[in-house]
Amino acid sequence: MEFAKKDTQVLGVSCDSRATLAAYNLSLGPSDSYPIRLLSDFHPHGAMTRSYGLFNEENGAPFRSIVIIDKKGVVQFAQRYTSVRQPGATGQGETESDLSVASILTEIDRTCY
Amino acid sequence: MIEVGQPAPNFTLTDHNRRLVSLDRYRDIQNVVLSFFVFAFTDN
Repeated sequence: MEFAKKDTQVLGVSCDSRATLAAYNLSLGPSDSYPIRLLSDFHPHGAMTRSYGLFNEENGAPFRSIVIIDKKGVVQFAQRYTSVRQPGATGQGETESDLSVASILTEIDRTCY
Repeated sequence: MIEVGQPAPNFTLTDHNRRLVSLDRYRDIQNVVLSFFVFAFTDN
């Protein structure tokens, strides 16, 4: 519950259908570190993801990204990451490696308090 | 991509348990980490 200790909710977002996300959540099993909620941006397709400028028109899915929002509703961190399937194929504005949970927590400490 | 310092666009989406989730319900209560992923059941 590291995120709960920092008054932080983690929301996973994809453009998959809700039923797909329900099955995916079951496959992930219970999480010890944080309760994640998976949100479906399926219909109208990608509307929320587009509003954050993170919709990939080429595959109809979000860019792999992390956005941290403080309690006032202000964006404090936003970063795109390279596809896991294509290491080295870093696109414009993308970072090679994902943030670890620890570094996300550090970023929350640095920017939200 | 949205930039640091901008207000986060509000949204209302359905979660995997059919519950509606709106960003503004977290206002003044919790920070929010949005973890955008490409497709379920993949490594992305």
